[in-house]
Amino acid sequence: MFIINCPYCGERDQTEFTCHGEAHIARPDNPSEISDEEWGRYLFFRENPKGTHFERWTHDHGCRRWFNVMRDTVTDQIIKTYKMGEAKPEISNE
Amino acid sequence: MSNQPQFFSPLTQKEKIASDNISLELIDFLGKINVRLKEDDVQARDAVEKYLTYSLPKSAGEVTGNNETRVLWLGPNEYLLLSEDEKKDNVINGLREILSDLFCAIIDVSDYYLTMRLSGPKSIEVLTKACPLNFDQYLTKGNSCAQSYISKATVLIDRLSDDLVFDISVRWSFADYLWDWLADSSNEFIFSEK
Ligand SMILES: [Zn+2]
Repeated sequence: MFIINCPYCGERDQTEFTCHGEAHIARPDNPSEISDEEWGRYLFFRENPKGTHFERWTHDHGCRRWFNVMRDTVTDQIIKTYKMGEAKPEISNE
Repeated sequence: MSNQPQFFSPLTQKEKIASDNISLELIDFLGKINVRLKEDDVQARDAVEKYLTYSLPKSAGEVTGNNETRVLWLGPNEYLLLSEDEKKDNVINGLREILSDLFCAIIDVSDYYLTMRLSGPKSIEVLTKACPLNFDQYLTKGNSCAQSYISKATVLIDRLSDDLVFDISVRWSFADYLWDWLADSSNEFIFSEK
């Protein structure tokens, strides 16, 4: 059983949560001015790292808030959870 | 035929459970008001607290209230206010008036949720059969609440007192299912008394 630390509710079972893909992807401010390729990059291109990944999650069966998760894709270890709007944590090379 | 509205819920026909170990009953028609304020809006918060005459919950799982109303923490900027069904319109109008210039949402969700009361020494044992909450960590005392799920139904659990009394609010369409599930799970504790 995985425990995820919701930044609002505290430690809860993973089955209360859903992952919604990569975090920190900003929608371009000027969609009409950028090329199809740039728009396509924003829409479809994602990191697929072996190691630390930043994701958006929701606490569906709890407070229903969105938040960010820093997770290791190899070990599935959740390194950190933090609120929307907070800065992306640094990746430490230990 | 009378034109008066008939109050009816999916649980009206259910037979309530009353035993030494476990009890389950329907709490009919509570006024439920969803209140949303901006998380950092001190002015709105103060206005609501002055109107209610007590403070809003500050941290996750906190419940505050008095004899007339009860406020449950739902999120950092969201609360559920409970009142008697007949008084809810007063409360809604009152809140809308004091918050008229401020950013807020006051929504009547009374008919969206049904509430059933599970109580008795075996109630946590029944809940833990299909609720992932750690009951050593959450809902450990009276006036605390938590949102989670029981079996397949998303629920809001409100522990009313240090005694084991839980008001479980569930979406209307899940009420029949959840009642049957709780009744079924309680069965073993009822029979073992005999
Ligand atoms: Zn949460």
